[in-house]
Amino acid sequence: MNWFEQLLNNRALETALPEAIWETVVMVGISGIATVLIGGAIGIILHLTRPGGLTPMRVLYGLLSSIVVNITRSIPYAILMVALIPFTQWLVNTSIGPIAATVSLTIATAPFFARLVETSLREVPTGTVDAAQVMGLSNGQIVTKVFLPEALPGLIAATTNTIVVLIGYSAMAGLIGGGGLGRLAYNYGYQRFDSQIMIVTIVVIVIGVQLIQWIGDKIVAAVDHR
Amino acid sequence: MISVRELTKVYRQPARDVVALDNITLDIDDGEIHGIIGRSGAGKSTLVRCLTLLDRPTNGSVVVGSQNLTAVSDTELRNARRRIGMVFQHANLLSSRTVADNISLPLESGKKKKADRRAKAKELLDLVGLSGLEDTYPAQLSGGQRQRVGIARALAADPDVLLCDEPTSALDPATTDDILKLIRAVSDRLNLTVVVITHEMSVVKTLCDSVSLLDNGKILDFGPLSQVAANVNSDLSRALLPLPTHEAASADLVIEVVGSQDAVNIPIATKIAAEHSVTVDIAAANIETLGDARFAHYLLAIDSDTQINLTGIEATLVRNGYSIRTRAKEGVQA
Repeated sequence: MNWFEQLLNNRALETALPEAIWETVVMVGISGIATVLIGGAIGIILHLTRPGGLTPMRVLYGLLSSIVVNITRSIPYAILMVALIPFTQWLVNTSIGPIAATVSLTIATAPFFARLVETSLREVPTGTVDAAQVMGLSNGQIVTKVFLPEALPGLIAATTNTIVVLIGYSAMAGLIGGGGLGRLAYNYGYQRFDSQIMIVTIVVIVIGVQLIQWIGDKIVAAVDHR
Repeated sequence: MISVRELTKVYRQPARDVVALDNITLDIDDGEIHGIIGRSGAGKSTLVRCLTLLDRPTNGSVVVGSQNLTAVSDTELRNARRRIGMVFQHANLLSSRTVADNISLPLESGKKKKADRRAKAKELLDLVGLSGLEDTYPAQLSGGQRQRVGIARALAADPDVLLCDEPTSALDPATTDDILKLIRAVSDRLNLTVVVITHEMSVVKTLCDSVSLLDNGKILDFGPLSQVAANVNSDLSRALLPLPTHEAASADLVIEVVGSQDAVNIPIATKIAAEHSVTVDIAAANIETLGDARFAHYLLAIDSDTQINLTGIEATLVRNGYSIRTRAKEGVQA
């Protein structure tokens, strides 16, 4: 049997790979949505409350910026996911499986995404905000009609980046019970010396990341009118 | 229409306080086009931001119509701002919206239906001469076209006041002329009160009925264009009617004069020469039309073999409607 015939007859691949892909999709999907919502909100609040922002609030900005965002971002994910096990247990009543993994994934990536959102919003020219204020738009309208649409290309690029980071983190989460492609590569590729599984997993992840980047770039090009 | 009282803005900085506006008082009538001219750093931008309350003045009041903007709540301020349309130096359009959606943005906080907003945008695009460009994006337009869209957007909420902050400073001379004509046309047609902030004297010359000179946070000169220009002792007059470079220092007597309307048609040099038996040389001259009046700005170099009757010459000039500024050479008696 040559290498390819072996590959096609690999039972682990047939049963474990689809399940692992699905688990990764669930982990990345749920934590991706949660990250965009939570991180997006934090990013918007950071931008509005920063000194010189639309509604400067020194204390809230300082709290969010230094404590929530910077401290969380400075903890390596491998440590964060272990440290969060009790919290995860309390929140979703389990500490293993893809759903449990989304808790630490969201907490790890939301601050990262928040910073990217803040940076994108900062690139909206202040002149357009002045114009909106003179028109009599409320602060809420300025967020929904000026900040978010004007920063949309940057926000989508930030989302693409975050999803790619999430795929990387989710592989790590797989090691402590998250499941998914990381677990597959570790269990079969590392512990059972099945290099075929290892190679296939790498190929799947590379293709997945390429696909997400390609889709992200397409959307950015479609919404960018600058 | 617009009445500014004792407006002061101080920026507090760690090292020292910067007084950007110092006790500005200004009245602009209904339907008037008023120019505020000053060089960079004079406080023009701060004044615009204070007029629209984008920055809170440290002291003083801004009254537009009958509403004191400095005394109302944030919600009332938002409503009051809808009576002010603002045109910016760089148009400040939203790149994510089409031209029509940019123009109708000020209407989105009101109750107007989408179709009505679109109709209004179309009507305004016709007014500013950009018919048919509803669905293009700002990035596809030239600088002059973008500014036209900016003007259309400023007019969307049917304001009473149009505030233009350096509306032509980023445009070439031909486009500048077009935009100024457009501002004049819409203000006549919609009976708007217009305030134009600029550093270009040519904008004031072609567009404004009245003018203020802003320098170092203070208003140094103020008045209707014709009145300000006719006073040879005002800084604005010399900026509005600049003389070419000249050499007159060697004459016995040098008098700078400005005349307007009928005075321009009087052969003033010949008249003085005849009445006072002196020789009069026009060392430099500038004759221009501002608004609908003609102005003459002369530098008269006067020589004589005998004693010059300065008082008599000055009286002749004043009698003929000239504003005078005598720069007598030493030794000539008044």
